[in-house]
Amino acid sequence: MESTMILDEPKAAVLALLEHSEWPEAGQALARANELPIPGRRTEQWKYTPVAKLFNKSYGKPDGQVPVELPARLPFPATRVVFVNGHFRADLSDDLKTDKGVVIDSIRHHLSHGPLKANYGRIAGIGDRLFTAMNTAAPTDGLIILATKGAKTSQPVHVLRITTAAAGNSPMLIQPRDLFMLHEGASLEVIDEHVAIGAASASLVNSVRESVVGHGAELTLHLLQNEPDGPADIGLDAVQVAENGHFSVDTSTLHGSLVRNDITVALEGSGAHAELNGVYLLNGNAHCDNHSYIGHNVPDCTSDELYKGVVGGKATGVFNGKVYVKQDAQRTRAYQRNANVLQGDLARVYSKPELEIYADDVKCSHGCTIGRMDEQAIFYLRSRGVSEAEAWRMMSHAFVAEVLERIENTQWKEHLGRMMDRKLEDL
Amino acid sequence: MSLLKITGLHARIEDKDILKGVDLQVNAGEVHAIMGPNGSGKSTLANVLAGRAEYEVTAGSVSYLGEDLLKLAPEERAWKGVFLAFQYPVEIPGVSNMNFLRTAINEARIARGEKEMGGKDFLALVRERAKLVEMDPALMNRNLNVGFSGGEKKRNEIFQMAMLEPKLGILDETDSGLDIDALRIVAGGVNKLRSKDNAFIVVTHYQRLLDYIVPDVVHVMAEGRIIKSGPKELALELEEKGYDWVKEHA
Repeated sequence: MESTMILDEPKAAVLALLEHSEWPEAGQALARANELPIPGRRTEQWKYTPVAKLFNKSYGKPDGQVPVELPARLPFPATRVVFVNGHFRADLSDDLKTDKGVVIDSIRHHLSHGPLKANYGRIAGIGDRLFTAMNTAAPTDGLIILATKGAKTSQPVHVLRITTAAAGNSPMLIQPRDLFMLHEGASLEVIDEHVAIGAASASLVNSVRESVVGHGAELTLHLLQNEPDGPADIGLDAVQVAENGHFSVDTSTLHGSLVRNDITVALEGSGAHAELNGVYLLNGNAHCDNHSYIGHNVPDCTSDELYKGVVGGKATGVFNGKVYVKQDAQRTRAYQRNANVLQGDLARVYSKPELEIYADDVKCSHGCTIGRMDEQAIFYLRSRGVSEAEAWRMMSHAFVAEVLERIENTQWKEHLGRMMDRKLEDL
Repeated sequence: MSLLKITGLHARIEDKDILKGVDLQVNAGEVHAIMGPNGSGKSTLANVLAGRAEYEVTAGSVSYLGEDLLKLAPEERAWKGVFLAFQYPVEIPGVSNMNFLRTAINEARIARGEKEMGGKDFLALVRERAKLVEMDPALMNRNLNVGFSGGEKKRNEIFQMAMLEPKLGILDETDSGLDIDALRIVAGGVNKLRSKDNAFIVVTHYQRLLDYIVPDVVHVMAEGRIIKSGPKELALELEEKGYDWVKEHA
């Protein structure tokens, strides 16, 4: 016991920041955070993503009022919501009261409201995940989106989360907390983009988002991590999908010193469907870890997962995909694939598909590959006059295009494609 | 004018010596056929000329338009007019035939200090050259060679050659796997591209192709060397008497 105390000592300094929070059940969450150990190399879920170093520094509270210069708008219409260092910035955001039946707001304004009280902490249970406990104890702020029965947004919501270099360069602990609730037949599309302005690499962004996808409702998330010199970015998306509900997410990681994307989906009604797609293009010392869990808890649900990465330099890619099929979840269809291309001798990829199936009438498949770019194909292209670098880019683009093809929003798909092509120029 | 001069060329793959002293001179306006049994080094020679990295040149020289060809990267060779039609064209999912070709053409133009070809001119050229090999326009927008039949792949090779207008076209067993109609079309395409300024090296196993692409010189390769050269009639003689006959009389 004594040794645990010593081990956890750095954590205490970080957790002290989270005291005196007014969020629901903050005290319990903080107590749990104090109990839970910092995950280390022997913690299976965090084996390849070292986070101990995140606790060896002293963080300050994030300043949301710093002046920022906003990046260019997306090349298509979207309702922009801006957070600076985790704080909602109404002055930088668009008018959010545009669509009937849809509430888009700072979650802080809703702490005492029914929907928040009923759902907060219920979808993303703390379990033994230290980062969830920390976030639940004292979120910075976040986004709440409530869509009533049959409500739809007229255009995607673009959530821009900016991390700045803190004054005096002291690192910040930023804890975004979102709640998305879609009632029966509602439909919502959200682009969640993380950007860093200035040298923000010492900071830690620890996000939690809870989403409830109601009967026949449809939630589409596009996550983009595009943070050169950005903070450590640890996030959890916990999603619950009801009968005939549809959840889809695409996660694109173009930069990141330490990125961890946890996605946990519970399929709770028959006909529910989850689609998880991801692309990571990593170089330098980037580290990206995509961890997913899909729970097939009832019969007749489907899930499909495709993650592809090109990893070069000294970068590390991690994939862990768990599909859990409960005993009575008959006629489950679950597909999962992870494919990686390594560039150079120092890049690393760890891939681990996990299927845990207790039903007997199911169709599940999984596969993972780690390899080099096809030398024959590269030579073929070069022999026709395509330069080696361009041939490599063409092949990389073609490799990840399979994931992009799954994205229904063609404007987003094309925008992403262009960003990825630019990234491939540097790889 | 000498386009290509190969002198005492030795090459190996891994630890296996394959070319053991090849000498060959090709002048502009000529078509050379290289025949020989399996494993004689024909395809290796074709691939070494195109710059495939798996083959290591251990001795000898290759001069192309007065320049040391072996020093050039594969794409530089292409920019200077070398083209290899592959024996087994590679399927590349996700890369469209058209985009790839346009990139290839424009990289070559940039390397030569010329203006890039615009979209309209490119499409006009595609339409014109596709007719040479009777290529189905639907294949143009497909991914490179993906789902193409054997014959379609070979036609696509000749179509690309027609688009890139090489000075030295090397055909590596382009006839293998082709039925007689496809063979006629592919050969017809090559014949239309022949001029006094370019040259072709046609690597083949069978005399059949040479009925359609009539060579100026026929070479026989065996055990990594050219052991006999002669006029086009040599191909017929080979067909009749077999390679052993040449080996005995070489």
